Amino acid sequence: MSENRVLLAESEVTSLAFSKDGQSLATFSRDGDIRVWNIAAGSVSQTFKREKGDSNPSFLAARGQFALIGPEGDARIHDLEGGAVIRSLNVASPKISGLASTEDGKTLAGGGKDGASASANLVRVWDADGKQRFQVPAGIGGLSSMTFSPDGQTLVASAYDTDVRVWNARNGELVKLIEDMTVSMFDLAFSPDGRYLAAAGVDRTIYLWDAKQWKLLRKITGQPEMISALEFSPDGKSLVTGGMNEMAFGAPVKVIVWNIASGRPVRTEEAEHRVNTVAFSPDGKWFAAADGSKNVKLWAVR
Amino acid sequence: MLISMPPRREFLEKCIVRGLLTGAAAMSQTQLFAFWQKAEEQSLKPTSVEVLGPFYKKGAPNQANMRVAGEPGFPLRITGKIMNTRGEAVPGARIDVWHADHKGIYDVHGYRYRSKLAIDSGTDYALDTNMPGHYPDRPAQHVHYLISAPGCKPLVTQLYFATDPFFDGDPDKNFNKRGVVSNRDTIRPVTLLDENSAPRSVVTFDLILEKA
Repeated sequence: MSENRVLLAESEVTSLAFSKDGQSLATFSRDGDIRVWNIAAGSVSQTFKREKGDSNPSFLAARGQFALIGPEGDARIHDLEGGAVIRSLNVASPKISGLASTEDGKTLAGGGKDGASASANLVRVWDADGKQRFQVPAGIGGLSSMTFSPDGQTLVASAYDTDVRVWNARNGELVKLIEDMTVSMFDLAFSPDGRYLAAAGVDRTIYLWDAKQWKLLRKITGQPEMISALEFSPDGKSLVTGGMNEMAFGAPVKVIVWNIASGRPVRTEEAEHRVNTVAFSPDGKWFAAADGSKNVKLWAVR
Repeated sequence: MLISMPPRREFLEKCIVRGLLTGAAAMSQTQLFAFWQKAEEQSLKPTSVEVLGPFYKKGAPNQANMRVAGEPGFPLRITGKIMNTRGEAVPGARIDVWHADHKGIYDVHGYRYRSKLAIDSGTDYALDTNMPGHYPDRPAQHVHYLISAPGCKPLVTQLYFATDPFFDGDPDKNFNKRGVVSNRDTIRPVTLLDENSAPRSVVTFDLILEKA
């Protein structure tokens, strides 16, 4: 059985992604670098430097890929293995702050401010060839999270106005405006089979919706802090969440694995500082959390 | 000097909207430009946009007084106008306001220091509250605003205080310190009053909305 591990990063890690085979982990740090770690060795095997003016990278659902947006709105999709540019597209005007992709990498979505109204959000979707498919209004005050369903047919985004919007990813039709929450959701995730959408944020509650009928199925409580990040396990039976203390961002918080069926925690671990991101490895052997310290913790799934 | 001239249609629309023209008569581009310039001069500058932040909460009560007897904190009265760039009232406006308590903590469980004002007539709004405190990751004192009004673009902004030690006594120079505040004009002067031995601070903050 694997032992828990701590990767000691040079700078706070704000996002991470496992490789397809679960042997390596890509991280993005506040120092601006993207690093690929060999998990077994606990060391960095590759480092990518961003170009001046590049956005923070988005690790894409097309595993093994990340996206960067240049100052002129030129987006580049890179292969984490070697760093080569797989393709590029122009996403300028209005500017977007990050990209999400479908698992097959053929559809991309970006969120940003509406060019005509700086307080309003806009979501834009592009085909693989870089042709914009549609753009839709997406609430007010910025987007906290955006993700495609595993089949790529649905796009969801949570806004800081507390609402979650669900669109048909083919044509931009608003399928559902979810207004169940009174506070902001910080992260969204679909279950791997696409049956459920989970969201969590300020009210320490995991919301779970039926992702076909868009009905709220249950609310799971028990996290002692705000929930800053969540992700499903590869078998879809559990969810990992990371906390963020609203009184003191630097206070220790819990990383909890929840059983979806029972709504009960099955594993509770600790992070030293607010959690920036969580993930399961694709082989289900690890779950990981990067927090406001420089540590990336990997826990072996028992 | 290079002047970027908007298209003729945009001149006409702006001039008509602002009541300078009652119809699109046969006018030269130069005449139109003069009208357009006049219209621009008469317009109020829309209030600058600041970030919404993570702590907005839907469903706040409509309460002009957010102070609670016995609650610690220095009394703060905020007054101002809410109107469009032509200086007209925006009936039906809703002003969501929220801020941290004197220790810099937001009430995310209830509605302490949260209000949603309904402005159905006139151009004035006023709020009584306590001066917000500082908190570690957002070190300048501030009050959040989310405003909607029929026919206007939504506005997300924040009110900051020129007296805040964060600005080191010189908000003109230090307004963008650590990238916290984007716009100098959202940092407002603070007047201290002592009426009947009851000291309080008073700030004015106008909310100018753009046409949708």
